[in-house]
Amino acid sequence: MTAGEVTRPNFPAPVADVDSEPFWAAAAEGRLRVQVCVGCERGVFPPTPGRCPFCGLGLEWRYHESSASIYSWIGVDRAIFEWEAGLVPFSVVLARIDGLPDVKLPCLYPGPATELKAHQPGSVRFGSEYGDGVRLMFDPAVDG
Amino acid sequence: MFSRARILGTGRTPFSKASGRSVLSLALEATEGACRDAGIDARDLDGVITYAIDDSIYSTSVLNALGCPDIRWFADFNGGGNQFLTSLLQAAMVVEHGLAERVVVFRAINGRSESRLGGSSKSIAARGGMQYTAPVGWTTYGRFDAMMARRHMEIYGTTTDHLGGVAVAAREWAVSNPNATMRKPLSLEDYNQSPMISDPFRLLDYCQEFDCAFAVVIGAAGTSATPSREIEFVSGVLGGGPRPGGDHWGYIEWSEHAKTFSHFLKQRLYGPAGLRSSDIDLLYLYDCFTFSVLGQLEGFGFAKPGESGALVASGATGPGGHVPVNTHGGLLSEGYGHGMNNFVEAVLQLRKEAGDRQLPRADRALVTGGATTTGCAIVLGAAA
Repeated sequence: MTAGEVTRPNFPAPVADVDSEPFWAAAAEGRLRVQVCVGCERGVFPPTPGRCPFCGLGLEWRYHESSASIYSWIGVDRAIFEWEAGLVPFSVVLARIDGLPDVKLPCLYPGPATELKAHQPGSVRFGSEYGDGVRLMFDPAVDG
Repeated sequence: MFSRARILGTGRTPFSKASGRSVLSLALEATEGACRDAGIDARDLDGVITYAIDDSIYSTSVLNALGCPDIRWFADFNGGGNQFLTSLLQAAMVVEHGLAERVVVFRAINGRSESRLGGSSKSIAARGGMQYTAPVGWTTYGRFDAMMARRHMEIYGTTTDHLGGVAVAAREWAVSNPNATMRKPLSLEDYNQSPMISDPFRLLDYCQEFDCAFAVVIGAAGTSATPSREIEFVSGVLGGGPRPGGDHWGYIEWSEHAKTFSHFLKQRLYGPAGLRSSDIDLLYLYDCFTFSVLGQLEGFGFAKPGESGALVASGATGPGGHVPVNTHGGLLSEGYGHGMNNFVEAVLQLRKEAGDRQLPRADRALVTGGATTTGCAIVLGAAA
């Protein structure tokens, strides 16, 4: 990568597997679907073939609303890979889903880290504008 | 902790950016150095353990190259800093139970010229745990640790100057260490002028990768040339907290990212051995990034949650301070020896052989590995 050469962002497409297929199938339809414990009702992410890590009971897939808030975030100010160079500076947000506080979703935010703050409300969505496949994006709520 | 197993010798190569040598050649230099240090014949090694992340050689290739006739134990761990002491603890257990008599643990990498752990030399596949992270640009160890640092900053008010304090203290130690790769004095202002890489991490929050090898020989007490130089294991633990994922590459569901593995190891590390943090004279905290030092100072009981930044800013962890951390400059300023160089320095200090940087009080040293959700810790003691 040479200075001044700007490439179109082309982040890698997620490769689903047997355990994550329900998550990505829903994502392709623009819907958020995560595992929730049939007993304690706590959410679990990433998808797992295992048990509820909190109480040991089984998990089931449920669709969920997309409202969320920022749990933590980083800025990427220096590109390491060519496929991200065209978007620098961008941010990675770990977003906590409203109603399922144990579920934290890694999301892309196409702006610098300085634009974000802790606990900032917003929503997650699946977007395809920065590469093949869909990926989680964080959209901060617009100030009232 | 062990009645029989002792650390008999250590060896190393210099750090370089392009060794021009094979990884096996580096491993042999370190291993032969450790045997010379212990005063034993390298051909008498009968066990070998290493750890790697697809970037090194098989354990037994070293005993093969040395012509060791009797191989009684070998193990190859697939892991990095979070389990570097797994190798050393297993070697001690093997010797303790008589499964082998002289076991070498080595780590050898052309970590700068061939296989950079930081990511730029590796292809990224968005599968497995990375199907959730790579598509959104959450790749590389630095970006993972930065996420924890940010969470700590937001909860406790930790600042980037606090992170910088760790880098400055490491450099203060490295200035007097001829083995260190970075010895130019560093100020907080220099730190703040270094480029932002993964906000909140600047360039100087990262350690630098090098070509290098390190080796440690473990055997039975009294079997080295100079038993008074043998080092004891006082305590040793591995582990993590609930929902650790797969360390850096899968730690999304970790319960609280402002806390590191160290919080969950402290009780087991100190309790059975009857230790308190105040019994530790020297700390060798795994410092692949500045934040990992802050997280561990809190987890291992040297600062209350949220107070590690102020402790470092007070100068306590640097030369002359009362909580000396990484007296050689650590991974941050001596170089990235994947934890082994921190271990080697601990042994040097406990033997009172650290020359100009020898500390007067050096009878118990804590050595750790890991930065995020899982890790390991050992307390070493000078020969009684």
